[in-house]
Amino acid sequence: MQAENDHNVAAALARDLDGEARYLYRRLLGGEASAELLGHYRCAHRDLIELRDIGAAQRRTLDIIVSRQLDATGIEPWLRGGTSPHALAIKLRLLAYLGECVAAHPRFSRRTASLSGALVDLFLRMLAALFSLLRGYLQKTRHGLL
Amino acid sequence: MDFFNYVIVGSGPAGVAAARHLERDGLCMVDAGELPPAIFPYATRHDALASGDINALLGPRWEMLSNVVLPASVHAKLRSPGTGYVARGEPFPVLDAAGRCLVNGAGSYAAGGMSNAWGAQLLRYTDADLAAAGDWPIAAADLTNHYQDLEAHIGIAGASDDMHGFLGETTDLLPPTPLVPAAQHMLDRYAALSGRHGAMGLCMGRARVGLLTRPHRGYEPYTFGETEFFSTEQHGIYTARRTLRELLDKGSMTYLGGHRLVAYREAADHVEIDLQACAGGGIRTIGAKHLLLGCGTVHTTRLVLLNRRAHGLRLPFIDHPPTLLPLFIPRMFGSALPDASSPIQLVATVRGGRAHEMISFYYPGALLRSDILGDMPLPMNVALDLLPNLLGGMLVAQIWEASPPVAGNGLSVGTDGAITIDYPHRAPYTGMARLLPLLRRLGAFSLRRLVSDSPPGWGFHYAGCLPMRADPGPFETHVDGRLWDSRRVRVIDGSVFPSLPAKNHSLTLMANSARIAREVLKCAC
Repeated sequence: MQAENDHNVAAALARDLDGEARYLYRRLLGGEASAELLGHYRCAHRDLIELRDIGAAQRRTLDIIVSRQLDATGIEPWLRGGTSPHALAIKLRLLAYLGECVAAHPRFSRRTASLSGALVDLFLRMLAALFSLLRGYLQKTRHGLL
Repeated sequence: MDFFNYVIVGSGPAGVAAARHLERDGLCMVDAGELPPAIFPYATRHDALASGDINALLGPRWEMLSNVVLPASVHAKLRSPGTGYVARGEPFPVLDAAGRCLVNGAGSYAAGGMSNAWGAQLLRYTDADLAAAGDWPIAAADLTNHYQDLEAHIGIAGASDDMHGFLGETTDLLPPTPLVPAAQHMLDRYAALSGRHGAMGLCMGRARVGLLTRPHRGYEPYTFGETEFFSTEQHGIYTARRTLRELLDKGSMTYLGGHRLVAYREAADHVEIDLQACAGGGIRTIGAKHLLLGCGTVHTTRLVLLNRRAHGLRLPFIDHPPTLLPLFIPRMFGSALPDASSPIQLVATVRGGRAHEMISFYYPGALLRSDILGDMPLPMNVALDLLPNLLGGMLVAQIWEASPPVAGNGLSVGTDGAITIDYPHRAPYTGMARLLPLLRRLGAFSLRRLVSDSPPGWGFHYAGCLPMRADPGPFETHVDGRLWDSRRVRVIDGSVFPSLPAKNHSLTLMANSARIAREVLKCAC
């Protein structure tokens, strides 16, 4: 009975992690995370204590971001500055590494093949960054994210 | 008891440089001799990424994420299993003025020592360097023959250009390493401005590195695979392990691998040396006419202090933590990124600059893109979109100044043998106001707020604990390497440097070790 309960809890946690990974991956890189990538994400959470033992406030922040589909990448910069990295930052960085190493995601290599194109792209991305940061700040404040 | 004419402890740059002069004459090398736990199975970073091999790229225990979960916990170059084994020797904290730990460092028990992970910038010191740093009891001319010999042995890539005099009068250089577009652009701007307007305030030229750009002494050239953050096993980059292998292949010395020195006792006509097996811990004693300590500054100093039961005595300790400045060359944004590159692109110094600062320009191509994300003050998805266009126009300047010993910065050993390094005084680089406008003229831009000072301990140019003097006092060394009150025990590594000029010290460390080895040969005792 206990073993079955433990199995059910583990399965629920795995589903939560998969759901979290899928959402954060979509916000960070776009597209769907592969089963292989999700598997590595779960393994990292098993192996790294910094991903397992998250404080209540950070756990709440993560749950709200995922459940309410908030702008995770726009919120994350506003959570920097603590004595240790925020769990959201660690998870996004983990997904970045996995996307680069497992998925060879095109976002890591896409390049504008001219100086003028690169400068225009830089300008537009910086505008996008400002918009995302503003939205992230408003969402962080409105939802009381810590 | 096995007896030898000479025993060298350590197989790093100092140890092998001395061994080349003492081989075939009753030489024994004692070496902990650790090797990489596994070999990175890809010749290039691109091949590794194409494979999707998570274990190889991120480590079986997610080692490459160590700075993500605990920032600044380990130097970026020492994260992976294929490089981290290099710094698994005796640990030491580096403490600031308030006693807070800045860095958790360690010495090296690797075969070849810390050279396995170095950048291989191999430069001569000039008399101007020694004068700027201060307190050197030898002249650059005392090292000239040894520089020439080592350069021929190693194979140095570089160019006879505006930096030739600053870097030292090396001859027989191999062709310089290829430049990435951003570095080529800076060098072209420098050449144009220097030609039109006479000497700029900056002197710039090609890097000088122990990296083979053509076959040399039977060794194949470097393949520029951008694997330096994953592996120490890169053919074509010189490390001390290459010389160690040659010595072993020749059978010209006895090699006691898997052993560490624990104590020594000097008698009138010999030295008794206690060694401990790394596996099993058994103790054996050997004898020698002369003992040469080349375990690296931290290990050697610890051994000398323990041998003299000088617990708590603080000896001067010098490091060379660089100042880092990211540079953006907008003209090169959107450039095609090279498939292969070497990290060190260009070198420079400020004309008339204080203390002959040494500036090396690095291309961060070998880093994973995800490594760079944490340094960008932007949403990560935007940062990822920007990076492919930015990287073609990015370099990082590492700036070193001369480092004299500073009162309060020192190394001590406790009664338990644990090392502590106090480093309350880390002088910031004060030349930025002059440097930034000079770089802007070359089309490279940055901001003062982007400057970061590496913490002491992460310069890895450790020196100064047992400085050589014309008339040494306690815990100092003679010019011929002997400890102050010894006839038969010498120090051959960076411990004996009385100060650190701005330039990389690696080649001089080897040349000075070779010089001391020749002194041993002259010794009639």
